[in-house]
Amino acid sequence: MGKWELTMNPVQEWGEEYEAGAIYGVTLRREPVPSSPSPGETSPSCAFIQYRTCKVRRLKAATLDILVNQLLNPGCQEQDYSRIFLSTYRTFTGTSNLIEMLFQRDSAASDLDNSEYYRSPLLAFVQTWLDEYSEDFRDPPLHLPLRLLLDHLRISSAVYDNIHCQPNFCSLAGQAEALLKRFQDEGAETQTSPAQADLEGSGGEDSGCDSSLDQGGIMDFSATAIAEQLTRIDSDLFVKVVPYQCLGCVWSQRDKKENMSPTIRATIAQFNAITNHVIMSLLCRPTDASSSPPSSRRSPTTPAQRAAIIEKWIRVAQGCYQLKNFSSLKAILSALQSNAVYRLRKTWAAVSRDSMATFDILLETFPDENCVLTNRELLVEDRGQATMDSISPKISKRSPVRQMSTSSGLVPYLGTYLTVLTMLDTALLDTLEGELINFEKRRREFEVLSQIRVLQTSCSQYNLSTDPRIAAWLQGHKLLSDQESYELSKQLEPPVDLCSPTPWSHRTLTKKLSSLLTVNDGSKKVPTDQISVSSSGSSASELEDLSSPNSACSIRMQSFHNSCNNVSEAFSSTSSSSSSSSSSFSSPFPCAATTPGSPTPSSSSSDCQTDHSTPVTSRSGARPKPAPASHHKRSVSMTSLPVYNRQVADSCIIRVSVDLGHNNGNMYKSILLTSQDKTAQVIQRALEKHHLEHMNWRDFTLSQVITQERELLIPDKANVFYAMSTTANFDFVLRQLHKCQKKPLKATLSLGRYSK
Amino acid sequence: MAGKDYNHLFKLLIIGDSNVGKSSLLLRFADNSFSGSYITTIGVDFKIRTVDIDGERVKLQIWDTAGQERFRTITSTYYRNTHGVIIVYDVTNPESFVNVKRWLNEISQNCDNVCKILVGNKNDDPARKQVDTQDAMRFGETVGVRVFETSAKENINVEEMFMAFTRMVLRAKKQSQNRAEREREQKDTVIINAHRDRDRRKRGKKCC
Repeated sequence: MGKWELTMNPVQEWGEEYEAGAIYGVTLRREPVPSSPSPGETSPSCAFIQYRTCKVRRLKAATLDILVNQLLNPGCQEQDYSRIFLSTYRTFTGTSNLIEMLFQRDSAASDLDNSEYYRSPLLAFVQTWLDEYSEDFRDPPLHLPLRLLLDHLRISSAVYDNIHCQPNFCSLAGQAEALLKRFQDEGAETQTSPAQADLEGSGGEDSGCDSSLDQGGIMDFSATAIAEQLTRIDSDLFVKVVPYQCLGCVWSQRDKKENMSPTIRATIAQFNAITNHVIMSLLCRPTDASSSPPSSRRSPTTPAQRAAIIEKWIRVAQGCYQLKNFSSLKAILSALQSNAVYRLRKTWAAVSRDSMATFDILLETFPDENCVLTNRELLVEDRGQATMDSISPKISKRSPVRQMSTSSGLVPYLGTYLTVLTMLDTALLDTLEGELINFEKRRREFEVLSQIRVLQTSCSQYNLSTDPRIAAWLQGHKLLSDQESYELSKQLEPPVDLCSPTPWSHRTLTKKLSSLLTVNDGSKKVPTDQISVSSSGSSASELEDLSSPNSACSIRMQSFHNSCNNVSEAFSSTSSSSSSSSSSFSSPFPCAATTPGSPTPSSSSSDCQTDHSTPVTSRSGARPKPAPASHHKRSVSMTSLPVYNRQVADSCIIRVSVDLGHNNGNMYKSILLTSQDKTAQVIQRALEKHHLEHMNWRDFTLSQVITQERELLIPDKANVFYAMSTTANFDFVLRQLHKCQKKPLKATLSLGRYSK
Repeated sequence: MAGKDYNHLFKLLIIGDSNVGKSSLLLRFADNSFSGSYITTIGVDFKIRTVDIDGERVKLQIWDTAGQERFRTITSTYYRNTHGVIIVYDVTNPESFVNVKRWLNEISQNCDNVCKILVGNKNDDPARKQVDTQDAMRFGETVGVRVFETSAKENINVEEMFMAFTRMVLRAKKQSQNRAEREREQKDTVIINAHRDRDRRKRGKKCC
């Protein structure tokens, strides 16, 4: 097979042909002429291949009449035409109307053709309809379209039926009848036991499924078993998804009509339930699940305990990946990245390196949105295999799990399809030339919908049994709203020392706040919008942290910390260092650090920990990228606890104070210094730890205090780790330059000042 | 800039309630047409367009999660590494405007230092308009976010909005770049010292 053949597209767009009420797209398809039956021809060394070109017409847009006629046109060249039509017709007409039109035409056609062997093209169509699109007929309580179809089938069966061919009207009538019975039975069932509550949407409203039973927690079950149960639930729900409901024009109407797209809502409800589970398991103790979360004042979990839960969820995610359950996989990954969980720095820092690596790989290899539509051509030719191929290579690349079996079930993350279909719906017009239904649009939508169908079929290959204990655990949970999760998250790892409003902290806060107010116009942005958003009442609970006199300030504080505790890698230098502010705020003990390595003696405020007693925090501050992606690197050095005045491996703890001329106290901040840190970064970080981020770091110099009289000025460009003296105390001071002083000069001079 | 056909690359995110016309805006801008012919080469997760701002090529990757609004926590993954967020509401739907606060709150929880713009879409039929321009402007002022009113359908103000926003994002980048620039200049001056410093350090190690 020559290169030429591979590169040439066998299908060429030729143009359009217009007829009354229809536009056809014309393509020329080049196909090899079937080789002559002589036996020698099969050898690959065959000298030439003969091609012929066929002209293929397909309906691009037409009136409803013509589209329906085409359904019954035996000469229709498009193999998938019926299915495209069935997948999408409800966007331009109703089921009952279609039934009427079809039978009207069929009886007209059969009147013309009186031969005994008349084989109505309608039979095959109705067969496909009942087999593959039976959900169209579900119209409770009476299912009128189905009754209509049944009537027509019975009449036709009486009038024309040829029972010798399959299918015939009689057999179809029987099938329709069975379907009607099924719908009615299902309807009766749901009336006695109301359908599962719609869990989706942000919580807040009580879902009422709280169970007072101690159901156990995530740690009580094996990750594989959880992943299997999730996959069982997800695949059950996914198989029930009616692809039609995913169409952009249907799904986008979801807010206008209450009962739109119930099968998709059910899938989303499960997705949200899982994200909620992940968040709950990390923010509440297992037994808290049934009580009102914010009121639970039981002893909170430790970072290490929470880290173990994160690791467990990562293993569950891995299990989902192995089972190709991308729905729950996405739910777990996104929940772990949700703000309330993501901001738990101490927790993430305690997550093992291996787990972090797995997490990163799972994030990276999650099949991205584009892969839905890649290899579409393949899909058309060989649907079953093509879809799997188009998705699996991407996944198996750098897979955390060695190999995935190719012929297994797959549950996709449905959101991808919803976005694709929303895009298609937005991009393509419903009608062309005024009245003509844009069938080309439906063709495109069908390609996506048929992928969903292929995957639904694949789900039959799952063979997972129910584990009632896990199933019960997965079901019974109260939903947390984003705000509630955030509140809980703050309780676990407070962003500021707001939890113990002692007179001291009030005073300090006010002081800090006044500096923040000036910050606002400065380089470090506290976007004003965040402030007014919080104050606008959408998040009233945030405002209750401080008593009223300070409330105006607390709003600002809150918003400031909202932004501080979050990550924007784009502006990593500013955002990363601000992350440490949470801990330094809570460090009212300037002298605590003088006893190397000893825990702060007076860490009285219950939830607050100073930097010194929590090296992990200072570590997170030290990294320019506080995204979880980089956390595992951090945990490398976890093995060696930092010791003061000693460089261990490639890091050490230094203490930095700021000399602002006026009496600023003798306040040190501890900073983790790594062998990568340059002077500028250290100054910036120290300033931010001292909440002086509004000041320009270029106006400061960094010196190591060797003795009372001697200081070592660290040059601007220096690597502080290597530049510093290791024999003296690791104490540093930031000094402000006077405006006229030129920093580089000073730096040069400085070296002479310290002679060892 | 060898090997790249642009000077700057920005990731932008469009958020807002469902059905406010996020995708329409995006499609209008990314392709400037509703023909949809580009969909054959669909890049679904984001749309790309390269624009020219004062002689510089700025490549925009615009991400849209339309259709996924009801999946909880999904947007939080999209906020990472975003340079700018476009918050869209529908001027014919007051509720979508009220929800802007919620979206702003979500942004503030998820990113630091991100440029924002507020866009009132579907501004093509005065009779159906329910969110007053003055109200929107006033709100925008209080939250410090610029407001644009657009119509993706009629292609009104879409290009202008995206271009203005791109300028904002570019300016923000330039500001942080300038800072880095000054930093580098200073570093260059001291580089000899740094060397000497390291030598000293090495010697020190040998002694020990």
